[in-house]
Amino acid sequence: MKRLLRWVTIVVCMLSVVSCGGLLDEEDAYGKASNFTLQEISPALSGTSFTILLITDVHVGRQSRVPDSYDAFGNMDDWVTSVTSSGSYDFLVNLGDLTDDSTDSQYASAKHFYENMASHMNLGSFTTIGNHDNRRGGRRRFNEYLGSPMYQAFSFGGYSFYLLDTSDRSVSKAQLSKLKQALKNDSQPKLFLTHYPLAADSMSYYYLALTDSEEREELIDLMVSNKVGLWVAGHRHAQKGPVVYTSTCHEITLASLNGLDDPWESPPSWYVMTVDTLAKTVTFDRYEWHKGDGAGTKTDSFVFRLP
Amino acid sequence: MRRFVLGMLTLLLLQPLAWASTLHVESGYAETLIDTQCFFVSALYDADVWKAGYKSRYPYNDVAVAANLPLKRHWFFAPNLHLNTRFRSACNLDGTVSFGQKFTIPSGAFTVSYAFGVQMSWFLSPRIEDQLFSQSLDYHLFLEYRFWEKRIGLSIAYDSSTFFWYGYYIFNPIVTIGGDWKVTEAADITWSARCRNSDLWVENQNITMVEFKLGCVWRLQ
Repeated sequence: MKRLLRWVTIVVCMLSVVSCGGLLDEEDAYGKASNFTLQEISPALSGTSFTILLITDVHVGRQSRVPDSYDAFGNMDDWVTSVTSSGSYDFLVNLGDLTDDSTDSQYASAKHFYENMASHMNLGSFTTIGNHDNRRGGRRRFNEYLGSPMYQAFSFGGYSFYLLDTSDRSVSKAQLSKLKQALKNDSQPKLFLTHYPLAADSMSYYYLALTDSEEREELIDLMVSNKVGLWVAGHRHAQKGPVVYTSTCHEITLASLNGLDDPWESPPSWYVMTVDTLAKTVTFDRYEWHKGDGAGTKTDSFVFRLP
Repeated sequence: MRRFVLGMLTLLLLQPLAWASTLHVESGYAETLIDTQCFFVSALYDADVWKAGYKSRYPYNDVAVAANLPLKRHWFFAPNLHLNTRFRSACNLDGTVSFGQKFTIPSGAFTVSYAFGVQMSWFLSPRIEDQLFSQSLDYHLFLEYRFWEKRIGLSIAYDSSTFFWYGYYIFNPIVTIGGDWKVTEAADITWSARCRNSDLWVENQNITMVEFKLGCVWRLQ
């Protein structure tokens, strides 16, 4: 009887401990230091529209692994000339995978590239972390080299931009909890910018979207019910979508800046996103760069209606 | 109507007892990225080549059937079908087929088995954009050591799917440490702890599921 009581006590204690719960709620120090408090950008918007230069999947260092891929850093002067000759930009947003394998040398080169690009922006630059940026202590390097939190939010021109950390193929429980709280207190129309796509449009999507279907569903619910107009992602190295959730809620996956001319990827691409606050629309202009070109060529343009 | 449904459910749950050789009843605690804290209870009927079970972890329900068909030279064929439903929302239909081999040394102290196959997962949602059909490799590795006159067994398993599979995380590795204690000729006590990683192949792993459970097994026949 005593033995049985001892076992029951142990089991009850164990269950009590786990029921205090939240075993998956813990974040690392870099996650804990991140939040979605809206950073107000100044000066305030003076006109009725603003532009964001969007780049994703630069993959500095990939050329040693994939020789045919384009070495964005090694050809930086051409890039900067090409990208900045396409127009004047208020912000730079990088959607992750700035490095190919999170090494110190790749981060040092990526920092040089990113800062050079950022120096051409009128108001600021933001970056999200990708799945190639967080390997073997990559989160620390991301924070130290780029000075960026893992996730953040900023507000400009009456719109809120949420940069989510989906680098390990999920939005952590802690991040999702902070996001829900932030959305409750934010009545502005919003855009989500991150690395991983939500949408599933092919049989072999298990590696190319967030792994948890229920998490995806919850995020789509959050978008639809909180005036989130767009989920903008990278990761696939090819333009996919748009996916229509509602008439004012879409998802688009952008092609990579580290291009590869093969059936799975596409030539090096970047996007100019123009938010028209009067018309409540966002326009994406896609530019492609081919070897031998001096500057990028505009190859596509599409418009989304925002909430 | 409610009585009829309850009656049918009771019949459905009790009927397999007529054919099953063992009944497993397990309870425990599980956490995924969406659940906060979730206690569950499951019943599993097991015969020589098949098993069927039901698991409730509100607001989820799991129903699964599986077979383990022995072939020549220690080979076996193991199909598994699993349905996971969430009240008033989506459900997930998963299936696996795998081939493997199982070896036990003559004394019965060590058992090792492995299997490879394919897994398919279909996330069915009322919203068309939420549908997700995916397929991937299915893999299993199981090691067991039995001691104290083979009454106690300790095991470690490395799987991409389990019987009550949290199927919407297709391909992700699940590590299980467990054991059983043959208390009497008719009953065992079982326990296990398991977790799942978001990604095995690249080094940005994140724990996306934990599960602890304790149970009893009754040999019926």
